[in-house]
Amino acid sequence: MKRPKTFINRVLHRHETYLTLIIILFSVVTANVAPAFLTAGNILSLLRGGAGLGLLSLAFFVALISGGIDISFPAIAISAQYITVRTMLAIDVNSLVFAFVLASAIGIVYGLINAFLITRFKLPALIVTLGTSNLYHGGLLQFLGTESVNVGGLPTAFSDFGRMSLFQISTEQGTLGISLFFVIFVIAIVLTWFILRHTMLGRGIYAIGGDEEAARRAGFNVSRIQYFIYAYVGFLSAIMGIIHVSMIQYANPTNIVGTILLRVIAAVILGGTSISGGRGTVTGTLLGFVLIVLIDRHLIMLGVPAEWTDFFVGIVIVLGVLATHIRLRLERKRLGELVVERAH
Amino acid sequence: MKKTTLFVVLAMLTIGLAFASGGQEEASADEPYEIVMVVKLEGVAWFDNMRLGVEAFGEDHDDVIAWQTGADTADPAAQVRIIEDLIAQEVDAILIVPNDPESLVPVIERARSRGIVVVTHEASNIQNADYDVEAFDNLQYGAHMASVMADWLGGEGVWQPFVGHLTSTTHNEWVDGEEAFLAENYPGIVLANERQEENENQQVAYERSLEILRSNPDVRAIMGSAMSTVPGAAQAIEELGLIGQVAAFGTCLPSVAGDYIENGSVESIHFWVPADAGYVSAAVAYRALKGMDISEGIDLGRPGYENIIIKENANGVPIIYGQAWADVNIDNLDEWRDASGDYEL
Amino acid sequence: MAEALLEVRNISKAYIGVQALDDFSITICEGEVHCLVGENGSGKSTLIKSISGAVQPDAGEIVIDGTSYGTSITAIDAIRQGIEVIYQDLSLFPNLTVAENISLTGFIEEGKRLTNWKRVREIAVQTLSQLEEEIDVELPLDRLSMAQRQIVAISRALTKGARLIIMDEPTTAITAEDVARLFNVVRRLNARGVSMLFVSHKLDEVFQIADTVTVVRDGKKVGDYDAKSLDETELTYLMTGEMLEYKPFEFDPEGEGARSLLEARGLSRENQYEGIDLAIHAGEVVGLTGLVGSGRTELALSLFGMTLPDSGEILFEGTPVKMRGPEDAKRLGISYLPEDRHGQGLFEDQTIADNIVITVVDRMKRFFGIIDNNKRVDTWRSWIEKLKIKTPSALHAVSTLSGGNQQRVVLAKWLAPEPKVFLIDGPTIGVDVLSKARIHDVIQDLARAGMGVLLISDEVSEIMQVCSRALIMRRGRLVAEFRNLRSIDEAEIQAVVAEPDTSEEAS
Repeated sequence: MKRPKTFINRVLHRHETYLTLIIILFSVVTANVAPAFLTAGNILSLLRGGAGLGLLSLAFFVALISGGIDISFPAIAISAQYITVRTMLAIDVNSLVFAFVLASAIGIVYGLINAFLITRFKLPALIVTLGTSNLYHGGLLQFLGTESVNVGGLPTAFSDFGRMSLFQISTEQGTLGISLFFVIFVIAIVLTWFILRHTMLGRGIYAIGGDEEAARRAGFNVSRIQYFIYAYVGFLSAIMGIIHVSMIQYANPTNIVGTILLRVIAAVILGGTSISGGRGTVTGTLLGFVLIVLIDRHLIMLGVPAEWTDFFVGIVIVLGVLATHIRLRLERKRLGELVVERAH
Repeated sequence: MKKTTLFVVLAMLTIGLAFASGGQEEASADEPYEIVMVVKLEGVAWFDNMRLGVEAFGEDHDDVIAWQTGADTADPAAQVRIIEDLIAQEVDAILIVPNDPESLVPVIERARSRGIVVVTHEASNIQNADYDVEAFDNLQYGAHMASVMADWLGGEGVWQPFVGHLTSTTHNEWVDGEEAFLAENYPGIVLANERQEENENQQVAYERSLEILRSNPDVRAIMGSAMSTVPGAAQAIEELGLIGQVAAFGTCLPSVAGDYIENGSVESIHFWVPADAGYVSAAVAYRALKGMDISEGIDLGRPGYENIIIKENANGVPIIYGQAWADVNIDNLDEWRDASGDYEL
Repeated sequence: MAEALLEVRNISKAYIGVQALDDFSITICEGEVHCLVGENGSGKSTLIKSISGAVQPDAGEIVIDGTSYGTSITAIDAIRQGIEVIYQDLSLFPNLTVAENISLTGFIEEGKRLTNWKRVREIAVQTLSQLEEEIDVELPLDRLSMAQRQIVAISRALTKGARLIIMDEPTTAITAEDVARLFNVVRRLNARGVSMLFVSHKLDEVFQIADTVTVVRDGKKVGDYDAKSLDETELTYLMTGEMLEYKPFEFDPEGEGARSLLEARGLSRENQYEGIDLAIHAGEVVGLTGLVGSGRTELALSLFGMTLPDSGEILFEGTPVKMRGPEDAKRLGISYLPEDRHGQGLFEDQTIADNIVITVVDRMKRFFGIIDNNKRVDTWRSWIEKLKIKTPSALHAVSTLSGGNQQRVVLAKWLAPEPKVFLIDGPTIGVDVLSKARIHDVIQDLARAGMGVLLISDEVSEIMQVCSRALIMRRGRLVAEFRNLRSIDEAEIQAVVAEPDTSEEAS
């Protein structure tokens, strides 16, 4: 059995390398077709607009790594957002800090409820979060109603937050700057990476994803780690909820749910994270996310007709996920794992 | 099964039937007409406004009791159940804003077979109602919105139409009307791209608008069909610092777009007034009950419905069209505020 | 004699209605390699659990370094005193690196919150070097062979200061060459003063490594023996209480009336096997052995039609045939028992009866495809009887059976279509001595009844006990054939199996 020893060999066999190449290829093509692609304005607005999807991708990634899954994140995001907005209106508070604190608390509590059901009753995470997803969102519509809050009615803290950015300069294309959304996203990336890579908690998340029973025997407190995971998913989702309302200046309890799930899952799976847990990197997830955002946000520039949008995105996701799967399988085969076809 | 239980069940069925058949004979010509509006769902501003019109019609007519009901979710099945109940109550006319016209065919059939007048609204493809009321002809409405936009553009420029979903008949008819009007009257106004869809999602509307404005700096107007396009596009215009050079137009409500009209990113929005549609639907039902004339050119008593047009749809149902669009821009925005300063719609 | 490290004195443990351990004692000295052997269900695992604190015995005491812990030693006590159990599944993390697998548990015990990658690597490299093993610590564990993983598990135990490592059935899942590698590591450990307790039901290994052998049967201790004083027959007798006799099979492929059933001529498949000529005759048990990767399983798959050979031909009863899939093979009368029992042979949640008839249910259809239930019942009943499958009811799920009985269900399943040729790949992996002997009997009975059998096995000893001749594969080629197995020494065949290629490599 020969193993990649040199640096170049190792790089060549990383999933991330392939993703990067695809991203570069896509960018080169798009830049040639549409000169607007490579403008500072476009890139900065991608960073701003993509931050929410990015946060959710990180959250979904963390749950997947642990061998679990959490598909209630859109419901948590919209619940945290809408409850926070309505509370602020009801008690007449207009503070961004308050919004973040309240939304985070809601997200964390919802995440802990997920974790409680998963750890206490040993239920499959998919079923639990499918159920709580309906519970959280249904409860929101039932108890708070379906009334949307428009830009005029929204506390101004949100619109102010949406306009905040670093290094602002005024140009013909409007005011350019690095949106605070993106800054928050970067903080979340670093935080997630640090937790997963450099804390025992993070290694525990990987360990559970590799073999839950072995993790228990090795002395990891599996339930506590699971509580953390789902609370963290809830937390990131809640932050996304606040970013979302600050960006579109509009709070509607039917937003987010139903539109974002597929893209988040696609980003994480394209990033090379294994559906069965244990394998995947923050870098891969970010690259998968970048690819999804690039495709999703440049179809008009590329001249793809509107009728073809869904089809095109669907094709890219299916092919991407298929290619990822096949490539990773070939990789293992190459490394000498005997794959004997099964008799039955 | 216990014999007593069986007996009780049979007895209850018998009594129930007796009541049901007894009830049928109570209707009398001297009582006021009971006209009931069944909306898609209750508790939203749009249909709260519609209720005002329905009730106003009752107040205007001594021989009419008019009220409005609806489920709290936009569920076709819930709507069918409510209509079933109204049939059992022997009301005289049922007005319906259907969630799903197809699913109402049997229940409308049943209502009409009992002599109940059925008038629908926003369902020009309905199969078997007595009448359907539309605020306007979709192509005409599209042409109207396009003409407002064309005036602002000064007769030439690049524009981008949006629909909610590419499968939405209404939205596509509006855009068809817009395109036909511009092609005929303003050859200097050209499309940036074919119509885009934004999935009735404000974030998508915002993102696509950004993309369109970046990739084609000549675009000067974005025309929305779904309620979410105008605010989404307005945000993109604002973010790119293009207020004054680019503007959003299209179907929207003052409460959604008011702030953007104020900051100049939205030039003009259009809609029809649900209260008027409710009032006119009730008026059509009332005329049908009384055997009064319903023909082209009559005045149904509300702005935009003074000179109605009637066309039969493919199923032979007469469709009553007004020209009842409302235009809101910076000049008349404040007229849509109630006493407390909030927008009525 | 060296100091006693661990003494287990007169331990008893009963589960509801079953006396798992009955007044059992065992003493393990410092620096000793001790084997505990016994059939499945004889109480071995209850003993391990009692020592590691996972189960509390009803009576007796556990003494470590002269200190008695009574019956209530805790898992933490056991680990603090340097007793580490490595279970069969190894409890490692396939997705983490070797370094992490070795070092992480130590970090947890120290209550660390942050990892320190430099130390993780240092600890791993250092521990592996103690064992004189070279494994790239940056590799994810799942790129390692089973034997390497065991070494990782041992290393992890060492980082926790293990003085006694208990390994549960360590040799079940690994090949003969890996066993040798594992034993080398054990010897090195031993030299450093670490004691080992092997728990096993595989016999030939016991002699290679053990100083002392303790035999357990039905929860009772049979005795402690010096490994050198025992031979295999004797040990089998001690374990089972029955005298098992090996009766090599007699068959002369060139004799009168030898009829070839399945024959391969010049069969080749790229990168798998090359130029294979072989014949299986009616009434014959042919053994096929070779290292993992020698092409033996790949060859069997082609003989069963699972893969198409690139060249050469297959003859069935003298007629050339082309099999496009296992369905064709089955139609001709070829059955194949795959190596991986759990993955390939059984539907574990379904009943024993259903598992047996599944291969023949097609033939029981009457009009309109209704299944003839009488035929169905007769079929499974007769096979349960013939193979002596021990179960209260054929309607129990297969998963309720012991390993040996499960293996018999697999046999029944593939025998139910009454094949003419039976290809059997590793039929006794993970099966205890007694069950193994019964399965061997069944195989020989089948051959006597006229079936042609190809037995593929890792264990040369198994082939010598069951077959009439042995074929050896190496690097995709048939390199040797042995007849008259009675007169040949096992070591002679073993040498051919493992011999490194010289001549062919050059060409």
